[in-house]
Amino acid sequence: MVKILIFAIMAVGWNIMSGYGGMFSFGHAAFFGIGAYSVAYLLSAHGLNPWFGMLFGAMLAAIVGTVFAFLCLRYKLEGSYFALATFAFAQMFFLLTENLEFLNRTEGINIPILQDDSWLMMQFHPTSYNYYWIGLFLLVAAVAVSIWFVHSRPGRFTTAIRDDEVAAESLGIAVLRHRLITVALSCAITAIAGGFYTQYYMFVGPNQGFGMQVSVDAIVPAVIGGVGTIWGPLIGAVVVGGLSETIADLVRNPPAGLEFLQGLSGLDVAIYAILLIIIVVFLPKGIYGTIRERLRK
Amino acid sequence: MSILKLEGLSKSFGGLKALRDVSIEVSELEFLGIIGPNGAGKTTLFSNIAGQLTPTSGRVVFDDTDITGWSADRVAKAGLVRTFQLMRPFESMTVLDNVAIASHQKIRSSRQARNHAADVIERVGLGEYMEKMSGTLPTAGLKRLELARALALEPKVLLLDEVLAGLVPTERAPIIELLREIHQGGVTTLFVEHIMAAVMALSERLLVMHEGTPLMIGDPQEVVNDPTVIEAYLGEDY
Repeated sequence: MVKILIFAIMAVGWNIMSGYGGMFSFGHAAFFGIGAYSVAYLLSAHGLNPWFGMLFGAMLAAIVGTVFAFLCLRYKLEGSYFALATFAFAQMFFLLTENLEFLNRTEGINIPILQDDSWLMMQFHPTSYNYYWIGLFLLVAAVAVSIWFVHSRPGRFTTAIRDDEVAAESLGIAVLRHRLITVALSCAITAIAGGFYTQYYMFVGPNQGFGMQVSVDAIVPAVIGGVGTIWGPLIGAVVVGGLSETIADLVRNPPAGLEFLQGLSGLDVAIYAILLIIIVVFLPKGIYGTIRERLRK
Repeated sequence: MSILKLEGLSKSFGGLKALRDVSIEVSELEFLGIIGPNGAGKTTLFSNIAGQLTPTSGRVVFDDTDITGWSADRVAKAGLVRTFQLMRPFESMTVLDNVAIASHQKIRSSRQARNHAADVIERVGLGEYMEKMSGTLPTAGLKRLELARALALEPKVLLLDEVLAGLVPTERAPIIELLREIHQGGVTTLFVEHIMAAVMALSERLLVMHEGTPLMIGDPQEVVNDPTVIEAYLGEDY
């Protein structure tokens, strides 16, 4: 359940930049990882509480994302080239982390375990519902921020820029500035998902933080649910998260007649792939996006 | 008094000189028609004035301010607004939201911006389409939408690039009337157009562009009857 919430927060973050902003990111792992490692490092090395770590991570991700996007957009790196650059950017962080002593290289960072539950240190007994409540709170906050953003003046300008950059500019919209605002917000939300991930799993390594899989995890729920819609990423996260848990169960305890599935790793990835193809072919705007379009007609 | 002054404006793309030494003055509240064969540099001229392109040399002076090399958004905010020959609606938005984007430039409050936009939409005759998705408009509607967005910025100078292209004759007349109203409402207008009936009906002065440079400027009747202008359009043999 908490995993679904983390998926959802990431997808909501990704959707702001890539859905509403039209800048396709294939490297949101960079910002997820910055959030995850900020919490882990500040806590393990300096004893700072994870709430602060998440906030710090969000700010750092926003700054890093903005600088990155500025360089890309300044030199007119757009469309698929921009997507490729984001991918390379995330890989760069992955390799960097694997080689940085203070981030414990490939070993990753474990969160020191406390004796008792603590809200301040965001640490509870693994079966505690508190993780669920915190995740839900963060998700509600992320959705609220994205609703507010989409209806705000900069948000509307951002959508206009996505629809037609030249027209937007000729109507007085400062294109670069609004794109950077969008990127900063998106990166910050994704970093918060990363910070929460670290606290929930009590561990982060290069793969969990900056791995390519993480970037994919941010994209898939939004694409399945509906890119550029508020509720699409949430619906997508429920579908993807639910599916991934069901498959995990299935592989662990297959029902009678399906024993051959026992311990079959990679089944989830195969099913995601099939699902993605089905969605792209039959519901090109995602589940929610397609339904909304039908209703409007 | 001149509101827009071009001084020796030139633009080259590599070896191609798209604009060569264009110097003209446009008076406040004037309606200036601009004609010329395809490739004469009419659209390039607009792009260099409105900031989509940066001139290679020369100056653009708008309202006593040198705006040469300003970005397009800054030029638009200053009150010099252009429309595009190919319509560029924000397709994910309704007609109202399209125009509200422009109204938002001067109005912060979202409710007031929408009210302002609604007024402009009524003015250009798109009232019944207000809540429709902009992509569903027919061509004539998109042309009006393009005008509405430009007007919502409350421009001092409008650069209109072939607003009538793609319309059938019956659709043209009401738009020509609308352009006349806009101009009489106090907007200096530069009007690039191929439909000569419209150009002659609206223009107070007429500029002929040829191979990137002004061939002639003056009274519309005199200009279209001038032998050099006819030659530029039809070739020497005529």
